[in-house]
Amino acid sequence: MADRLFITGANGFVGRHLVEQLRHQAFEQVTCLSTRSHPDNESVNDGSLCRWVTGDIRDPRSTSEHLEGVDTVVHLAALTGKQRAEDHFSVNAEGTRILLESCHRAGVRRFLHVSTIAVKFRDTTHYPYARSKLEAEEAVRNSSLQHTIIRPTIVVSAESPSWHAFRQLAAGPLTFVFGGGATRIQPIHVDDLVACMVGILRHDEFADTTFEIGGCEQTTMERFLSRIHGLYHQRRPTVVHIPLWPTVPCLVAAETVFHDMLPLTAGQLSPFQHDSTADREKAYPQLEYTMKSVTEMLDGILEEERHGETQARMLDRECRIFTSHLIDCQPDEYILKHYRDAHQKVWELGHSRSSTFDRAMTSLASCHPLLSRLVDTYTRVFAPTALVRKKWILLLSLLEVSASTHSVLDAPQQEGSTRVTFALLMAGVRFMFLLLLSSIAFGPLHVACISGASIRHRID
Amino acid sequence: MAHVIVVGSGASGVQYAAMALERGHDVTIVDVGNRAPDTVAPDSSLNELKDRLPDPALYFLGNEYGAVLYPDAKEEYYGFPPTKEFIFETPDVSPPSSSGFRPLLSYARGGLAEAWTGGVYPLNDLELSDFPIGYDDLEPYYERIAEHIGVSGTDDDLRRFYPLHANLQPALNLDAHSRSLLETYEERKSRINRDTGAYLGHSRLATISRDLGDRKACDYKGRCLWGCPSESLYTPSVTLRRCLQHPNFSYQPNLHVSHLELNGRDELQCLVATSVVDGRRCRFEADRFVLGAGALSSAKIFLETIFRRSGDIVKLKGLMDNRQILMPFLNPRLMGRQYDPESYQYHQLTMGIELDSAREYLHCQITTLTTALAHPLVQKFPFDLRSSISTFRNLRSGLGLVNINLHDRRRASNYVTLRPDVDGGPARLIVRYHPAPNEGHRIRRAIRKVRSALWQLGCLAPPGTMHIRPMGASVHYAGTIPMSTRPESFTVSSDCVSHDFENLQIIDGSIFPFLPSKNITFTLMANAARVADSDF
Repeated sequence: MADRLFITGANGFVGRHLVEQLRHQAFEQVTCLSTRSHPDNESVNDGSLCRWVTGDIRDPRSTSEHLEGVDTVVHLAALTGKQRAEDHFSVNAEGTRILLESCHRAGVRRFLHVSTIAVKFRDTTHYPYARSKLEAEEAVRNSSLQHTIIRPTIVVSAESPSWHAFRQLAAGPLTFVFGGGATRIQPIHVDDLVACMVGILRHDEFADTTFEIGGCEQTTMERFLSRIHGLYHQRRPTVVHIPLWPTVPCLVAAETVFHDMLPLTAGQLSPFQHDSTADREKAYPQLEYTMKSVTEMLDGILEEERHGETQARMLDRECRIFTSHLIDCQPDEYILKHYRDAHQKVWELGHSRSSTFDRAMTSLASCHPLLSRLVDTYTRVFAPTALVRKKWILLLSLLEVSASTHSVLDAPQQEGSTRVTFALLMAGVRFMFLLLLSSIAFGPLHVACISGASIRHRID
Repeated sequence: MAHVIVVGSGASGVQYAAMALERGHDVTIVDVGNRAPDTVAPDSSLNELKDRLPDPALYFLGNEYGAVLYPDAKEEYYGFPPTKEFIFETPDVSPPSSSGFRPLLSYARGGLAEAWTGGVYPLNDLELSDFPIGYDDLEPYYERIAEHIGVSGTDDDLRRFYPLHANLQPALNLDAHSRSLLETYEERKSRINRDTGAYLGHSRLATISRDLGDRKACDYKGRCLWGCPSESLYTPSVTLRRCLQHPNFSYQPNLHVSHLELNGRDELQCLVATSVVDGRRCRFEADRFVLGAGALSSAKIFLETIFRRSGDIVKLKGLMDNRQILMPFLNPRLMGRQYDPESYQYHQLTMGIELDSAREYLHCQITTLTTALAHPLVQKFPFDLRSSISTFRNLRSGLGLVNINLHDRRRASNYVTLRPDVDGGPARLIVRYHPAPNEGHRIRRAIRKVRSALWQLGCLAPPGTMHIRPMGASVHYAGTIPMSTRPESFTVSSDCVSHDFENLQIIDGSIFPFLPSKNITFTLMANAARVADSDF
């Protein structure tokens, strides 16, 4: 068994679960690398073996010191989601190459590389994430380190980004499916993926192999989304198919100019075009029979959502949606922690002191960034001191002082006076349009809430 | 040689103490003396703090997130950062009751000047015309203070408003925005001077551009708002530290002074203070007592002393404060550029605008908003927050703020008095302020003038973004026990000796018979050194 581990991306979605599991394993030390300060940074937290350090895989100065004496590196750090192609390549491909060099210099012997099933999609022309991860795999194979590469399929849990995407498509009154919905998927629960990784580490399985890791059940995209719909509505869904043929080319064309404004990229639709299933011959065999079935997975998630969704989890979800609304980013653990903490300490943010309208606006805004936008516009004019605005202001204050996000607020979006003037005009036009739309949507609700409060006040 | 007790360790108190020690007196400063927190990572720039501190939100926002300003916040435009909270921490004493005035009191070691923005402007003879002293009396002390604390500035068009004294260090480096404004002014100054009466130049600042003693020159880390980590910006604690090395000096912290007690000959005999730690009452005897606790706190001690001697409750009339107006503006030439967070963050430029006379001029400090927290400003933009953030990012390098200061005169309707507690508890200070009848006209005229000058400089001051600060916000309190050549009650002589108690000197803003629009701290320090240098 490896004695000393070094985990990159330890503060990410899979990383957090892995670190939690490793607390109970007999490793000598686990060094957790995060691009930003972790609340337990530089300290041995709660007596466990985990030590958090700050650094960037692309900056050897920030990692080499911590790689000294390490036996095995688990490489989870990656840029996912809607990002620019050059950023994907910079972090995922170049970052991996630099990390491998650092490992080589520090005398690290083993390297567990977490890739993606998307690297084997037939066509990745418009999916820079997949191409960058494939480049990373090649770099790992070409290195002199003993390595194992794992390619997980779609990873699901109540807080996984993919689950939020599926939920948005299927949990509403209609179920939206891109394309025909016949592509095959093999979702895996994050706990099962982490169990595989722990198995590889515990049994020292570093024979320069590649494992494809999926759940124990395959299904089609449409069936999977229909089951999600059924969970929430207990009936068969009305499926709306959005054809891929015009959607993908339109997104490709729009990405060159409006990348930041688009809700998703053409590449992110790839799982609707290509099967995301693990090859049985390359599967990691040991845990296949203990994995959760799709039904168990979905029931577990629903159970968590219905009964186990704590205040903290609700706030985390809220924080993610709001951060996406404000600056098109995802908050890291540091921001989530402070967002939760502030709700404990700042009385202005308490739901118990809020009105019906406040609660309604907050709930709507925390459903989706687009709804946040409408609520933001409406409350700017008609309810400037609404609870949801206070939450946004708190979040903005956290974003502007946090290491992972302050630079987003520092840089101008447009360069030069002419472009800025045009952007300003467009912002004004957009604001007026959204104000009209949001007034139609929320005006009656607002009036009803005010009237209701007035009647209650008179009765009291 | 005399034993002198000074109440308060603010700018005037420490300068008085330093000069009195030089003259051979024994000096004790009695003070509550809240201490500043230790400096965090002094070698890091502002953004490095965000990147490197384990918990940047704790540093920038505070443990209770007190630095976050919500849309319905009662606080002003910008609150004080957590690192400066110690300045306004109040011991367990009854706060003043006020009307028309928002009093701010400090119990910090170093006083309010621990949070000042470092503007040091000597008064000219016109502004001193109501004083029994002139510029010639103060000039040697302006020079002494400039040498001691380090003043940077230069000889430019603003000389018509503030005299040029010796011991000036070169002006600080300007950031791109300030440089752009000054270049535009130089190109168009004949028209700007003629049409608007405005003159622009470098600010005079108590921030050193060259090393001075053990203090290092400003290294432009952009941390001014959170407290200068290298003490390049002078604060009174620098002088206090120097005094502490003197064998004839003692410092008595954690004491809240309530009043002074007299002997049978109507001379002050001892000072009575209460420990803020354990409530213990102490008495300190001395030959001379000096009040430098700030106009309101000194007034309270003075009033309570009179009340305890005679049972009289008197009014100290003539309270003054500078009305301040904050006017955000945009310099379109700088839009869409990357701003430089590693620059000096307080006002680098000052604009003087002549009104009816040079004595009544508008003193405008121009700050180029760069590293201040963005969320208080972003939420004021007329868009949804998402668009406002985007707009702010594009405009940030071209944003600025003019702090317009108006002068004030003593009026009988503005006073401080005492309300004794019926149960024998501590008395309460009452503060009453009514603006001058023509206040509205003055404010409108000031706004018009400044907006016009900004327009000439190629900048826009968007309507609806201005903020007229409440009285009390500038913390330039003055005029309650003014200098007078006539020996009237509740006044002091030209040497700041009380006409009521002959071994009492008052050295804070109380003694100003007129409050010019300029920051008064430099004059307070120079005057304190002057009166400590007189024979007693």
